[in-house]
Amino acid sequence: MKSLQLTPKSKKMEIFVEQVETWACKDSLLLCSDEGALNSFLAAHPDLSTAFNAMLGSHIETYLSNIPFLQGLKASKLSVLATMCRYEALDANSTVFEENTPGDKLYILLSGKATVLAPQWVGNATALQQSLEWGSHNERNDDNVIVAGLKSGDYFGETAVFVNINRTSTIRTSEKSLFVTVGKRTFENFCAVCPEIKEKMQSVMKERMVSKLSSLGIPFLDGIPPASMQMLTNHVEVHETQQDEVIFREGDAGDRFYIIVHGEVKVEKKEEKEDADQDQISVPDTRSLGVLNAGNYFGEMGKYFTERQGPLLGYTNILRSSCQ
Amino acid sequence: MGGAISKTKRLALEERIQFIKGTPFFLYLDDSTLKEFAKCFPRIDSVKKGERLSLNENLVYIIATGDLELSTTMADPKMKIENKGYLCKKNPGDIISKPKEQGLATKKVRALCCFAIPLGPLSPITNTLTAI
Repeated sequence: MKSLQLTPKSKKMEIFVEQVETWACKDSLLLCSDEGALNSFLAAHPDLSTAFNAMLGSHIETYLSNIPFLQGLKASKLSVLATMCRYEALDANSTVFEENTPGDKLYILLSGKATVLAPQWVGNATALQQSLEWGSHNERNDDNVIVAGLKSGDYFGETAVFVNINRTSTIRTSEKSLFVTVGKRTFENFCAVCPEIKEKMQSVMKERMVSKLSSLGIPFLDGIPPASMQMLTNHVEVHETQQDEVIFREGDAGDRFYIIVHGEVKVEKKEEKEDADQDQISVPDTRSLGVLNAGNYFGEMGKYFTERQGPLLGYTNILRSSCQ
Repeated sequence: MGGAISKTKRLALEERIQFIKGTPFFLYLDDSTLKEFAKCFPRIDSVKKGERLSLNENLVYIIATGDLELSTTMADPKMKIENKGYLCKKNPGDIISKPKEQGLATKKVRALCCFAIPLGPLSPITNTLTAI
């Protein structure tokens, strides 16, 4: 048999394998399990076994791999992220987080049950904000609407790890529950060593937002077929701005169309003072034209001095020509 | 590069119970199961500041006191470099274990070149080889 002669292009092609190293930051003590004793204990308590085993790496990786922006990530990288996770346990009827509070971590329910509660839907604003995380609502509960029921393996709060918006829903446990959490800073550290994930996260978030746009009755987007709406996803950017940051000024080139996802935008117009004394330099007056909230859009006029009052997320690059 | 556990010693059950009360899993344990669970952690390992830990793949650890830092080395396929970085800190009450996959892949692999050949067109050859 004739063997193939292969000439390698690169003499040294090193393939690195992910690994986690654990160091003691200070003198530390670790309780260490006895494998046999722990296995016997878990075998004798199958109810506890589910929760305990769920905390161990391999189970968490499976749960992590269900999160859209982590799908397709190499198993070894998921394994690294799994080691970074923390755990939280809560009794029944406890609040995991409240609507309108700052979010700083994503949760995966390992065992137990929880419900997602949101205030009654009041039009586009709430719908658009909540489209970041939840689908359509289905049931009412006093002042709140039960948006979803959560069971083992379900995740929530993931938006908090990549944008600074307040929680859009309240999560309450309906029975004793164990969660795995990934904090925002932890996730940023993970992204620093695994940069390919950022692109995926942006793409997933944009898809979610755009999938809701057509149902919100925004005149600008009315009549766009679903396929074309999907194409818009590629042109959408998520902009996060600081309080009192000027988004654009009167006279700037109007090349973007914005939809507010979260926060408030103040619209102002500068007006020249009519001064009888023509020799004096006129100081322009700023007149408030109103405040825009989540669900409102602007930028199609490109004419006003616009200054926001709260954190804002907008959609951009939805050009008028694309929408015709 | 060798990891280290400086000292290992036994600890009284009551002390172990106190440490386990700091874990989230404690919520799942009543008094009797808490005692049983604490018996599953018969020894305590101590590590000095700056030492790297070598975790046993089959064991579970609960941080009783101190802080641990996790760092990693990851391949960046686009940049063809390895990213090194701090990942996170683990504090008392955190439960840690070594992921199974890591046990299999903790060394650098040096390769000259890799080829991926679709098996379909080669099936007559591989069938022959199997027959031989």
